[in-house]
Amino acid sequence: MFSKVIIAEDQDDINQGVYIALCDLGISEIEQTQYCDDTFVKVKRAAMDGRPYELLITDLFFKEDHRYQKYTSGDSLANALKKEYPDMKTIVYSVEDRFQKVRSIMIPGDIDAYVCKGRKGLDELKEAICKVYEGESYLSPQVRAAMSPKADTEINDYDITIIKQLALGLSQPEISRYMEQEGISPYSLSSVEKRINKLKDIFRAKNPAHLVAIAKDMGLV
Amino acid sequence: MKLFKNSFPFLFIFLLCFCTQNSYAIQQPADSLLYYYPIINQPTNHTDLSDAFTYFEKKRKESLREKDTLNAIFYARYVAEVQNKLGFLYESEVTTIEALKLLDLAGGKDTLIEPRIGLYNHLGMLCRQRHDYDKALYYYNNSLNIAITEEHRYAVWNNMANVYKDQRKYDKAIVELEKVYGYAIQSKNDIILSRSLNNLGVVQAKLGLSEGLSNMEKALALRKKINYIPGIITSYTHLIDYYLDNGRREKAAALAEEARKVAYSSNNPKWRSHVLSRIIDLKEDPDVLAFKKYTDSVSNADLMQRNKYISAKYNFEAQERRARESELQRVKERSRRIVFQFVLLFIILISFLVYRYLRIRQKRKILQEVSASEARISRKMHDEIANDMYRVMTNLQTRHQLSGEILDDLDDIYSRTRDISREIQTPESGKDYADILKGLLLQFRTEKVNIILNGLSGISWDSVKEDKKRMLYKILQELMVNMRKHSEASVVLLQFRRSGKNVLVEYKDNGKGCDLGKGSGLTNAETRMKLVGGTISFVSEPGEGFRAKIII
Repeated sequence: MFSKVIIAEDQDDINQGVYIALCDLGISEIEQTQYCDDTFVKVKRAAMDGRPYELLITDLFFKEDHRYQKYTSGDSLANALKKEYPDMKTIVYSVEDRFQKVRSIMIPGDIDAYVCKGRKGLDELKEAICKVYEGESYLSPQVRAAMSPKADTEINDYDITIIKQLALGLSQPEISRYMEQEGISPYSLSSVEKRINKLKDIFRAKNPAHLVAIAKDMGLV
Repeated sequence: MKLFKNSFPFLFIFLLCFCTQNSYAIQQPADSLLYYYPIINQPTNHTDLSDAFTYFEKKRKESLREKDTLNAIFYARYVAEVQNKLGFLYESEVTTIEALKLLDLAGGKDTLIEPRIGLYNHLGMLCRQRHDYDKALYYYNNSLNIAITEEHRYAVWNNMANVYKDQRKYDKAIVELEKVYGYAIQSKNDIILSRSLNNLGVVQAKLGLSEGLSNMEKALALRKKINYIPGIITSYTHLIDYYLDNGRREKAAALAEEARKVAYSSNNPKWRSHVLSRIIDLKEDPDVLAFKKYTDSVSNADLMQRNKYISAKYNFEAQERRARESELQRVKERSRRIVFQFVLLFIILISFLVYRYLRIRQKRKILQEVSASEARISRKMHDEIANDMYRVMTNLQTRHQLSGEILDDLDDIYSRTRDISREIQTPESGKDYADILKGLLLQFRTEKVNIILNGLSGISWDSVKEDKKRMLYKILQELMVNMRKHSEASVVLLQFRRSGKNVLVEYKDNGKGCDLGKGSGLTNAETRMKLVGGTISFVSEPGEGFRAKIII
């Protein structure tokens, strides 16, 4: 498990919660900071001292006050640190659960985990720390869909063609042959089969007939 | 060269007097002019006048083409004179009036007085010929108003006196002729003096004044003294007329014999016929008298007819001209009216458009302000209130070991706060819009409902205006929130397509639908959509799912 962790969080009570969670995981050295700039300096100092932090847990939003801050948000801090210390892991811990924000933070690939503050936030944080320690990434369940692959949500003309042929009563091998004739690839039976299964998932359909019924309802075919 | 050419007509008088040679350039036209000028006054054969007309008209048109206004006026005066001689009174008047217009355009009134007086006098003469005496006097008065030399006035007074004589207003004629006489005395020219004296005497005699006869006799004596034959003959004929009017036939006959001697000595057939005609008047032979009476009445009838013809022609032409002018006026007025109507219509249209534009701009501004403040509230609620609530929750959870029930309640409030914030949030601009939309839509994906997108990645959003994108985002968000709250749908399909300049978005779900008549919260979506230049329409029936079509 990580031994040296730094937390950037301006809310004392939350700090307290995170601290307890980290203690539960048996992390010995926990540094808490209230300002992004302080965090930056401390990480730098530790690295110069030859004892770098292994993990940064940061909030995204920091209330502005009288102190001028070079880094005003958690993601700008994380990005700056990642450039200098690529080995240090980063977990964002935030109330922010809008997908567009999550996507904008996670897509560049610098952040290892995104945990939403919520009823189960601390449990998810613990899980995230474990995953990140093992070199994996983690997303809280409520924002996981934000990063789901495109194929899960977007259908294209190929999909519509398959559903149309299903609606016409063609079997899967017949669809495969049809695709081959029309010069549409991939047309192999296995890819058609795979695609139909995927479409059943997407349309929450129990079987191909159900899929056609829903697609018809939606006016797709 | 150019200078010589332009000033040529005015040099003409000079040339006429001295006949000196100048450059070659002016010699040739000078020859023609010298040839045609005397013809106007004394045509020798029946084609002379028409030849002169052709020549002067050609020169006039040439001058007009070359925009040589002064020469054009110069030649126009000759043209008018020839036209008058040929009996084309109306044409003569038209030519004169055109020349006057040219004069007005030429400006420099002071330097062009001579031609102006000449033109007015000519017009007056034309009017007198067709017995339009008022008009004639009007033109002569115009002349008088601008006349600067006594010589000018002298000619005009004479002309006016002739008009009064024609009108038998002898008392008025006397006034003018006395002025002429006054000038004549100063002129020290016996011909002018004798003529004015004679004219004055004739009118005085007509009024029965005693000076009449003595003035006429004085004039005859003066003319005899300088042996001015035409004057002597004129004096005799006037005296003969006078004695005849007064019933003194013997005296008249004696004067006629004297006149005959003078006329026969002059060898001029014109004078001879003149005097003979008077002598015949005095004969008592009934045949002669009858012949004289008939020839007089025939020539009088001819003259009357000619005058009638002239005045009819003048009236006809004038009427036609007036008709043309009024037609022109009418056309002008109509086109002016059309232009005016156009301008009015244009102004109305423009002001309407401006009004609409300002209204829309105002609404947009309000819309922008609303969305800006909504964004601010949303952020504050999310970043501050939700955060604080979470802080309290964590605090309670970690420090006080509270029961799960209270924590669940708090969590519920926490998530509802965030939901409100989310409902009024606005997208960040400038980023990949398709990605922002996707983030928004996928947020509504749960275990129960899947969101299916079609065509979103293929749309290029760069050409779509920012306010339209923001509105589309909000409307889609409202649709999705509505869907989550009410529809119980398991599948939502969102199709994106380009149609021309616009983007077409179709929303469909397989939920329980709703009765649109009841008025959902989406009704004002139509108004808001219109504001940014888009449209939205809904189709739904209970149990039939919900559909929306957005064009933006």
